[in-house]
Amino acid sequence: MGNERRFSREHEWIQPEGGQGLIGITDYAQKELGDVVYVELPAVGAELKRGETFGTVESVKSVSDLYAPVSGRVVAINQAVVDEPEILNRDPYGAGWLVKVAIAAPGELADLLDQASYEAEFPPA
Amino acid sequence: MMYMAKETPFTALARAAGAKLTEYAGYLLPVWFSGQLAEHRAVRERVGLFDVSHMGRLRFAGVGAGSLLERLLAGAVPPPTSDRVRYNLLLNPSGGLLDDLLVYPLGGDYGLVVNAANAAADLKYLRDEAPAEVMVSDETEATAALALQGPAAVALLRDLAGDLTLPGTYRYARGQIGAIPVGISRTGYTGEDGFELYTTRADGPRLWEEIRRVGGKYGLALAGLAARDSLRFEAALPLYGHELGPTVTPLEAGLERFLAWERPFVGREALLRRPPEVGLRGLRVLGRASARSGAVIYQGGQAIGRVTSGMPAPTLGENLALGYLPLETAPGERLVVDIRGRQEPVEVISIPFYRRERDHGK
Repeated sequence: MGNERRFSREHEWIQPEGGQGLIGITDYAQKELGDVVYVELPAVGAELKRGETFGTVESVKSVSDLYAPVSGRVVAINQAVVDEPEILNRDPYGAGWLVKVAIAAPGELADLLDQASYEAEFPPA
Repeated sequence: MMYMAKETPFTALARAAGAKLTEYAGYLLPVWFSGQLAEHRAVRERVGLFDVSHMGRLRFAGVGAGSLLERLLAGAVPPPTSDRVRYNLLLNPSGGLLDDLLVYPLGGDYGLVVNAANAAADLKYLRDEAPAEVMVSDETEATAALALQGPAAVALLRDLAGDLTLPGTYRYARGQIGAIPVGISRTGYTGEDGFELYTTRADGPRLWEEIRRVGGKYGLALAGLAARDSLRFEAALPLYGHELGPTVTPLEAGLERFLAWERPFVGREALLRRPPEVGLRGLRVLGRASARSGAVIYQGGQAIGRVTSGMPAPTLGENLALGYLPLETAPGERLVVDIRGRQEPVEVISIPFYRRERDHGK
């Protein structure tokens, strides 16, 4: 599987590295949301379960739930995004990472989409 | 048969300018161009241009037109030769709101500008009630409408309008912009000074191009539905489907000053028998999440109302909400709102949240 970024249909991505992974939302998602004004993230130590909500992203226009693309324990959260939510619009794949998890079941990565498949289903504008 | 949203006279121009389009009330309209916050700020600080062609534009012609409107509308109907635009209300016999709208005297005829979502129902009702000698026509598809809003709107339009004297607040004038015949209305839905401009469908794109041609000098921003909503919300202007609806009366909505009590109108007697028990109030959410439409409001553990509109207010930097609460609810009171399952504290505050005379430069 390697360390390539994987995508969920709920517009989250995970970038695995070793047994951990950075999780964020896609460019498609940030474009749909508009100007992000508030991000609510779980606490370090929280257990995420694949497919369940683990936080919210709020723009002026709407609120969206964040869905865990894989199961795992939160080992770090991105305080920069909490302090400056607009980072999510500017750089959703880099500085806009949301949480780092210790991946509980690496097999779950195979159930996610690769970039080509995700972009085929959700074409970049 | 697949349902297709209709293009407005400006959909193609908006698309070419990079708009994110959405379907709204059956039309393809911009949600935003550069972004909601940038457009919202542009209107508060400079000037923004909105496509408002989706609004229904109805014409009433014939000798009985004024009398028909005086019977069916709850507010003042300007005399035929007046230049006064009137915000007005269409009520059902129970005093509930069917629509809120603008009435234009057109030198004998009358024009109504109504909410897009209600246009078909309004047209049917008004047509059914109209006597034979009153012609009711739907001019929406044959015309185009733009809103130019913000402190620099007057200067921009003066630049284009040459010798034409621009109308004062809630007045209407016909004139030429470039070589384009335009109806110029000093009205809007943003809480800023500005205009709503009406022309033919064919002339619409040229009017847009003319405004954009000089717009750079004034910091003009193309603006979409998202900014339109956050702007009107800060000014506490009601939105049909949120603050207004068939079970809401003008007395509850804070619109009593628009009622022409001195003459009969549909819904008048019901309003007299139906004193309000709730009123529209403002709320400041004290936490970081916003209360959104539908959120339940509690006092002492009892549900006492619901949020009708709520969002982070860009100009004011606060999470604010509107909702109907018991009449005695007053600014300063602390209540609780359920935001996605969490009980969050809120404070009742006075509305409007934003007043341009008071809050400019915020």
